[in-house]
Amino acid sequence: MPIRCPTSNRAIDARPRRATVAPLFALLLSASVAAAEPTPCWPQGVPVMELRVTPGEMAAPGKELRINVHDNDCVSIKMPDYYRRRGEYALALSGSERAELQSLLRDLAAQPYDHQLMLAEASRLEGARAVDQGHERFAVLDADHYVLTLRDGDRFAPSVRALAVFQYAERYPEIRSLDALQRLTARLISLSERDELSLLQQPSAAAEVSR
Amino acid sequence: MKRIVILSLVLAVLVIPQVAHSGAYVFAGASSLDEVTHARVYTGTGGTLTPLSICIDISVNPALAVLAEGSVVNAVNTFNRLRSVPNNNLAFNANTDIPSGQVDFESTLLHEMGHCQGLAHPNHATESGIAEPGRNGTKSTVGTNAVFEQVAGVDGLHGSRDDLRGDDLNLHWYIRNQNNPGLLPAAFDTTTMIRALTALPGGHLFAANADRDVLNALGFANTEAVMQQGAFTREAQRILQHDDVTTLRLARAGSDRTQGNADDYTYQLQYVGQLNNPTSEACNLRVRIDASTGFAVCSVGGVGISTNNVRVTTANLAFNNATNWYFTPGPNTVAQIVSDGPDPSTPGQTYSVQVRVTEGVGIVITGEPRGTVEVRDGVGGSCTITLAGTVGEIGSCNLNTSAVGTQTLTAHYLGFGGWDSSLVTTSHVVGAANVIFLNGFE
Repeated sequence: MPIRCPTSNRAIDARPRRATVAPLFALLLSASVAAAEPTPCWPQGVPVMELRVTPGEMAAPGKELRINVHDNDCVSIKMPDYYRRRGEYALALSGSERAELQSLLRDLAAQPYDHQLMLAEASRLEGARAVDQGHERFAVLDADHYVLTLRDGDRFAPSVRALAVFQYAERYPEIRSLDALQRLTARLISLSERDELSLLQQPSAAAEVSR
Repeated sequence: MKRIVILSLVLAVLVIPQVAHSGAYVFAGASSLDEVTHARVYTGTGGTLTPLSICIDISVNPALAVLAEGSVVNAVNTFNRLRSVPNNNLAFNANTDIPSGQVDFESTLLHEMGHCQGLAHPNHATESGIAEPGRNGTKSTVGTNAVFEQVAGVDGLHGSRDDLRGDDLNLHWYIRNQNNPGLLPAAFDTTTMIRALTALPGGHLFAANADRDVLNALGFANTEAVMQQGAFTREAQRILQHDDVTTLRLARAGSDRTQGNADDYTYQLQYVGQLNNPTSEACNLRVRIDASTGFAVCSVGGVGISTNNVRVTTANLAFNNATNWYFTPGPNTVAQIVSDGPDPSTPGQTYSVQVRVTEGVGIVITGEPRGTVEVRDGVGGSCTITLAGTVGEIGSCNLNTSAVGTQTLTAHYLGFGGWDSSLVTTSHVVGAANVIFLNGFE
């Protein structure tokens, strides 16, 4: 029997909201609550935010890491079959974590990320850096594909798509939209590394069949 | 305020562009089809170059990172030996030492280290945006119609010689008039290798790549280029395939792509240990195990050194810290020179070298080690042993030399499937011939 999130004892933001805004990130955009120890939970409703990470070198159906933030502050995490902790897990966001995600989301909204624009900016930066050796190029082989999707009820917001977020961010720390995306992505992924994840679904056996 | 936040984010829509910077060499592309990417240590001057250093960065996840050391050392040795096998460089499941559910770190590392020395995927790979199985087609860039035209052809195999490719522009170097990625060329330069499709044999439509299905159809079982994209749980690929070595050695023919002149180069990889957040000067290939990738990546910077020649300037490898890696502690085989007799031998006298290859302590792989052992005497002599894989097998071959002195015999087991390459040396004395004088005195 799954344990449900203790939503009833959560402090709710009392500030007025616009009706069009309220369904989307109703919880992420609310005021922070008192910090609490993470609690096991059961994801309810559609996710308001989803991060999918598909590796280039291990690209096949079911091989992606998927992190869903639900509107009851419960995070479901699906780990691919080649992870040590493969299977589907859940984690309740603490108030401080929710507030942090909210802040990171705002940062990204203030610096919307566009991969093509980022590449153009990266090329400009390489040109500016070139002194003696000439214009450098940069490539990431087997780049991970990141898709950040936001949902408002049944309505899907367009996804933010990016490649090799962390490698580009290391190379081009000056690009603010990239930095914002990297920080939000890193925070979401860090949730999957927590010790206190509760198992939602038994893992399936790792496929050992080669194409 | 909140509405602004959301709408701004919603407007951040994008489509990932086709990446054009990859080829058989990392930076080759539409505007630089024949470009070759060289390792960081090559600046245009040939010779024996400074070693290319590789380290494990222990500034993140140190406990996990140190486990990678055995695999790094193995992979360094594999690249330094620069040997390949014609077939069976792949193994799966019980034919490997990889426990169930785990991914072989060394196999993945070998692939990423290839990228970090300038090699790209021989196949389209995920950067093309093409789905399986089409992404196994040969590396190319789009032509004037700006779309990949990847059709498998009559044989149904993507990446083979009969692929229909429209106006796609090939980026894969192949052997002139053979177009067979399972073979080694006679030389490693443009007298034998070409990127343009002008030296295809009659009836061939496009350059073939060293995909496992393509090679199987060509008669090379369980074989694939290490640089081919794609990894699986419980799959071992720790031995270079001919196409990997050919591509590395073509670069080492230097900027002029001609083997045997002053700009040819060689270099060794050198493991420089566990370092804490090293600079790229202190550690040319930095290995980290962290959450910056969902599996494994290599990121490289590069700069042009001459027309159609680029050198890597920075190279960082990242491996996911949540993956259920299998870290090899060392080679899983042990080569042993059982005897070399007679020892000492006389100049010109034939002597026999007996070699045994066994599994390492605690290693359980189905069957017994098989494949090729090369024996060298260090003064130009060599012979080859083929192990059939029988229990307790000892193989032998004969050497003889006229060079007097103590020689170093090296037996190099090239590996086979899940059995790793291993190497052993011993000394052998070739003494001066005894001359018996008529008076009975020497």
